[in-house]
Amino acid sequence: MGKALIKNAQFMIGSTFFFSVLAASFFYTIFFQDHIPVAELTYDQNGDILARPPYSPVEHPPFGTDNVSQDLFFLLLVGAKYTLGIALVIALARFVLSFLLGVGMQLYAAPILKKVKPLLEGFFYFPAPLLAYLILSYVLMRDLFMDSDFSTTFTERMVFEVIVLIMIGVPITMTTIAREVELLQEKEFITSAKVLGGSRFHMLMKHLMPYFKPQLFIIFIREIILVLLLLAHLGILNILFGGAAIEEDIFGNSVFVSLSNEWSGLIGNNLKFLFTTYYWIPLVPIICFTVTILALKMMVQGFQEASAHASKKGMVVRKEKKSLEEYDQKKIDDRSFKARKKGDFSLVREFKMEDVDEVKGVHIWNKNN
Amino acid sequence: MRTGMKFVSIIVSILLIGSFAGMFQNGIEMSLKEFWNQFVQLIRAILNPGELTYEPLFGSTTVYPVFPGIFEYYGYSLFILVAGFCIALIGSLGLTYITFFLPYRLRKMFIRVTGILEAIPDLFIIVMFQIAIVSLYKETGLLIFEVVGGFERPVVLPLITYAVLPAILLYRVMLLTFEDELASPYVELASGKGLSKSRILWKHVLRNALFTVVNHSRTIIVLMLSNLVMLEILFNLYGLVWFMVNNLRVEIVIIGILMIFVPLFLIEACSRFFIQRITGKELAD
Repeated sequence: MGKALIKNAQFMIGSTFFFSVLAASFFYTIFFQDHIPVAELTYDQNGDILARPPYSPVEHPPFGTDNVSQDLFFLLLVGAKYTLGIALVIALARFVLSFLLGVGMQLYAAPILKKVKPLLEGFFYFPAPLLAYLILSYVLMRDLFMDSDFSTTFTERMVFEVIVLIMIGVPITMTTIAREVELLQEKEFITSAKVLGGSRFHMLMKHLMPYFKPQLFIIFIREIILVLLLLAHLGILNILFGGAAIEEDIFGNSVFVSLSNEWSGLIGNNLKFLFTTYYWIPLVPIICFTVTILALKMMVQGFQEASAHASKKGMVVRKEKKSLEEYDQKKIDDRSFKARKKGDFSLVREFKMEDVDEVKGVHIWNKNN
Repeated sequence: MRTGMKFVSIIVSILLIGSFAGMFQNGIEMSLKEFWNQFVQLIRAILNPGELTYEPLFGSTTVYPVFPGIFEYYGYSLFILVAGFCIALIGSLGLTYITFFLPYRLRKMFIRVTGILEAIPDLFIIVMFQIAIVSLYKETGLLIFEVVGGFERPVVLPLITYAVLPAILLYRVMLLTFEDELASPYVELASGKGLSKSRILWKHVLRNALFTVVNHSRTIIVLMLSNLVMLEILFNLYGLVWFMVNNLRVEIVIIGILMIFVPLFLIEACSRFFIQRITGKELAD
């Protein structure tokens, strides 16, 4: 499996991109203390102003600058670790919770799960961004309107948002995992394991997990994609991570400002520039989200292809082994047949001395099956 | 009977979610008592929808009744949803039809590429369409479609933008199921009898593949619902979701969700019933 993954170009491209962005962001924090360069005015030889910020990606590669002339590339680099880190944490928590609940309930409390399941179906019809907005908007946004200050601390708001984002994802993922377990439980080898007296835990560890592990990985990566998407949507709806502060920008308008340079905050802050000449300011973080999500999707698809390939390979090996054994059996039969027919017992003796282990092996093999 | 039970339980679950969300509308108040209060309040609001009011502007003193004004927003959203799905269905059918006249290797490549493309965020597609139209306008002074809505409620551009993602998803599902169906013996028999390829595709394969497509379309409609949020916010379309976001109250949101849920559930139940009658296969839940 590992080898097949390394050989798979899609998986490698996706995972390399994702982890190198994350690593670069942390590296930049550790060695450069999140320093964000500010672009200066550009002058020609006479000292006249040639161009002024915000620079477009063409004038100031690679990503241009924003309205306060900060370099967008470094802004996004600094924000990457927050966005991807938050997404990873939320996805992991969702995944672990829904795995424990889904598998646990399907194995130990299937009747209860059957009764609870219809009550979780409402989540399918409730768009996730709308639900998150409904729950979060007072605590993270409207609270600020009321008396221009939050009644909660930054840490409280952050913990609240993380918990809410975890909770709204669990029901659907949990049902998916429980469904997968249910499908596996219908297989024949589970019935035989049950007949032989395997406990449920034993069945989970020895019989379900080998089939389940690849699917779990895919579910986890999909969860990261969902969380990233949700964060981007919330950014558009002006729910910035951990709430926002109202500040006055250079034009004298009061605007929400994200407290970190987190990507969804960058989208939310700069969406108003979309129809101006400076359309790249919101576009760049949106493209970053898109590319990250596509990289994760490539990981999923590469993983699926690699695991399909690996399982096919395993089947071939097993087939070869079986035919080898059949061949051996045939050889032995042929020899003894020849020996009996000819009445020549020297051959039989020879065969006994040479192939005694082989015969034993075949004998035991037959007994076991 | 089973469908009726399911219908009621989903409504109850939406109400429960709503009363859970209600606990955070004035600060964080988490207690069983507050949950129960919210639940009772929600049921009362749904039983007397005529008394529900909203303030059009933040902090204004005049209030308007939600009904019947909401139906205008509602009809538009429902139209966008259904028309978007129909466009996606027709578009993906046409594309699938064309794809099956292409060589096998190209088809395989399409399946792989759409597998990645289906993950593109709706956000990205919407923003790209908007920027393209606006920059075209800036270059040539030609405004093909209204980019930002309002009370005029534009139709063409939002619909096109909206249909892209479900079309990709449906296209992929169709490619995979058609590929499976083409391997079955009746196709061999049909081509052996000398039927043309397009006749086999349209008449025989499509009928059998439709079953799987309908099975998948529930997931696709769920995805379209969550895409509707971004569509209405970014295009500033005066639809139901826009109304909910701009007049954010638990009662309004829950009534809106129920209003979207009921027709979707009915359509799903009907199509399920008819497809079972036609194909004789049992659809999975």
